[in-house]
Amino acid sequence: MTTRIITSCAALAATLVIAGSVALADADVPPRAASGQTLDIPEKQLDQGEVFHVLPALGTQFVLRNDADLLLSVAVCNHVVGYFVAPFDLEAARTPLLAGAFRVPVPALRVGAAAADQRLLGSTGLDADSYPEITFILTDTRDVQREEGADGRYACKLSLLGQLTIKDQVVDIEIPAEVRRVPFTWQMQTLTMGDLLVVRGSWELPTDKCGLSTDSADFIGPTTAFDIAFGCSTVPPDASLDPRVSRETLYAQQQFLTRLRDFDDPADAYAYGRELLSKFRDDAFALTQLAMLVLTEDDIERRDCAFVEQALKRANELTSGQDANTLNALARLSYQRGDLAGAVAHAQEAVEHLENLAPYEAFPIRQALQQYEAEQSALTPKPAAESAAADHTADQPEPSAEE
Amino acid sequence: MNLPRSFGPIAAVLLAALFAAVPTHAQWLQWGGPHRDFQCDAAGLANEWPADGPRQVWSRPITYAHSAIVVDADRLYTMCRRDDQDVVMCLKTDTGETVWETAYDASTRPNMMLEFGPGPHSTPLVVGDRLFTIGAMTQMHCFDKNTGKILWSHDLNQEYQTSYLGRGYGASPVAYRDLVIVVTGARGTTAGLTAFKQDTGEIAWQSDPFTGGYPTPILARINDEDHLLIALGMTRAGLDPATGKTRWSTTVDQQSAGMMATPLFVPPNQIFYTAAYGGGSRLLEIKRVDGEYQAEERWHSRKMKVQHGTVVRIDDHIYGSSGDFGPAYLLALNLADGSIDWRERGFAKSTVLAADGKLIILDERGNLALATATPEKLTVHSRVKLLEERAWTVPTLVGQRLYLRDYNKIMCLDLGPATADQAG
Repeated sequence: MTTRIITSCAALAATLVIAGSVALADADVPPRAASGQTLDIPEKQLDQGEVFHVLPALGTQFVLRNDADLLLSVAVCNHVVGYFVAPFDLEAARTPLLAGAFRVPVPALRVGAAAADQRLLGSTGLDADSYPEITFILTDTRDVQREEGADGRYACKLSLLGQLTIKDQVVDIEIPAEVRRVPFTWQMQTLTMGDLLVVRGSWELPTDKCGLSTDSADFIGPTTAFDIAFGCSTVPPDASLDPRVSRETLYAQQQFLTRLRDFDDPADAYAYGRELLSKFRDDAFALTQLAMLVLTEDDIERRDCAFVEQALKRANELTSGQDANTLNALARLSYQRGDLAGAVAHAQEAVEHLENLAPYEAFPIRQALQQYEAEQSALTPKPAAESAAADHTADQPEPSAEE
Repeated sequence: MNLPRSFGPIAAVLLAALFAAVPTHAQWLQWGGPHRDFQCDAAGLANEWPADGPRQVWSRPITYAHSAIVVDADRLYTMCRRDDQDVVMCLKTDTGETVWETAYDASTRPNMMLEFGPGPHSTPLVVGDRLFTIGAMTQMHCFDKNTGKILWSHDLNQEYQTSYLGRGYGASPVAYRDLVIVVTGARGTTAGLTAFKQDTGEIAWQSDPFTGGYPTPILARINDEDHLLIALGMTRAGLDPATGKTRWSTTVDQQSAGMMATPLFVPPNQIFYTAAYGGGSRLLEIKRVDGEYQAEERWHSRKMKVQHGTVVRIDDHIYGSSGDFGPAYLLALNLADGSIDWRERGFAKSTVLAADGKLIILDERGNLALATATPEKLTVHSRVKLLEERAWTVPTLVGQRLYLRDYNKIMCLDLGPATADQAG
């Protein structure tokens, strides 16, 4: 079993062993909630402590590593959904985690090389079509050692005990782990608007327990290692922080994204997306947001420009061509299609309608225009005379300070 | 009060006259209510409500604002927004009919963060025949409360560089003797507070520079002297409300600079502050040592963090809704050490009032509840959904009548015991 070397952030830290073992409730891994980006946490767990939701895409979340004689395969998934329940009072609870579970969407687990991804996710590998998720549920913690922190921060080393399910095989595992809790500060607001809990751990399993074929030792090593590194927040990823977006709208958008990005199922996702185009046909803001998800979210394999165009055409009708966000999205669509002139034209229109936007909304729209203009300028052939002058200037020595 | 014995009877008469001039508690003339602490002296409230809620006396449409409702006898006053105008409204308390409305232009400025609306966020103040209001764009008005006629005005931003705070001005005006005191700060470079004469609008005093902020100052009597307690940015201070001079001041951590909730005075000399965004709660104790006031922090805890709701004190516990962007909990905080005695998860972010031994809770999803809070537990007697999402305005209770609003409607409820007809 891998043991992670945990670096203490506090030179003055006093290490306290505060518990030998604290048994947790055993249960099934909760299903995904309506948004697809959180889990339906059991009521009794909600009362036990403060819930921290796994935040997607803060950094690398889940790593599967297999080192064979001829191949090193490191697959990463940054779209894990899950939660941990931390006690309101650590001293009384004697463990920093009272419950927890996570789900890893297997289609989002990628090595980054097409052939390797196919091998990993195909039927002889993790078989993503038949087993679309790897799950884990925390059943116990033990050997909790707390490092005292300052200003509400603390860190604990401990072992997480739980059940990992891969391809319907349930494996009891123990994860040497570290938990850090950090109260919200203004410096964190680009990551989350809530308190942060970081859960990190590593473990190894015999490869045959992971449902992977071990027929060829050249390509598959006998042991597979795993890492988890979750940033978790009291503000769930499906919380609507923008009052213009209702919970229902946000959940629908995130469900669409879950299908498209996390489970890489464009047919299902765009079919659902077309239902949303109809549902939000009078909501320009929601339509524009849906279009921008397709255009800008990372890790989307198929960006359907026709779908985006349909959404934005309606949004632009509803706003009479006066909405900066919609115009900005149209610019992005043109850019996606390689139409730089169209991107610049739409972006210029967008910048003319920024008066009702907050600075944090206006800034990226201006920035996008600058980017499109710069790229257009770089692609535009310079007139011969200008080009020659530029070349000549480049040959001249730098003027001295006196000049 | 330390008076010669022979002055005793005279003083008693003077005190009686003084208290007679203080508004009776059948009124709610200012932010925070009669005592500026969201407590009211109502009695005889029903112990539970019918399933569909208390009897609705009236309801009518209203437009957007967070401005709370003040009540003076048979009139109520509040504010709302229509297009680019702020509207100050006077309605009949019995029927909700309009008595008068006065609108004025209040265009928002470019680059404001108005996703939560353009205000008004501030609550009117009634003093005698005058009504004082401040809009989100810092336009301050003094009205004849009977007619809606504007008696005098100030544009606080234009005249004193008062900050719009990005999302619009939000502190409510405070009455002190013949003065009306308002927050006028901006980034700590201009007078943090300004007192105007109520009758003319002339400046009576300007305080030291403080940054602008949302918390409405409160008045308290400490060490037999009046203190205007402010929480602006990282400054927590007490001013002499007659002169604006700073009596004491202390600085808190940067996380607490985003405080929006109103401070709560805990007699005889403590002040409870609570802030969201990681700020948490703290209790300051004010002492006078060698003629100088000093603020000493008794405790600071991140466990209770109130964003823009209200809190109430019942005996040695504070009750309120803790949470900002994540889940909210109703909490019972022990004032002795800041520890939490219980948490209740059943409400979204809420405002609370205390009356007749009960809590009246309105959560932001529009659920109104009647509950009893003790240090041991919260017992919810009744709950009914009456308003829509982002019901952030704290209700107003006068007698047994509760006035509440959201962005679309304003209503009056009768919280007295249900009649036989209704119960049946």
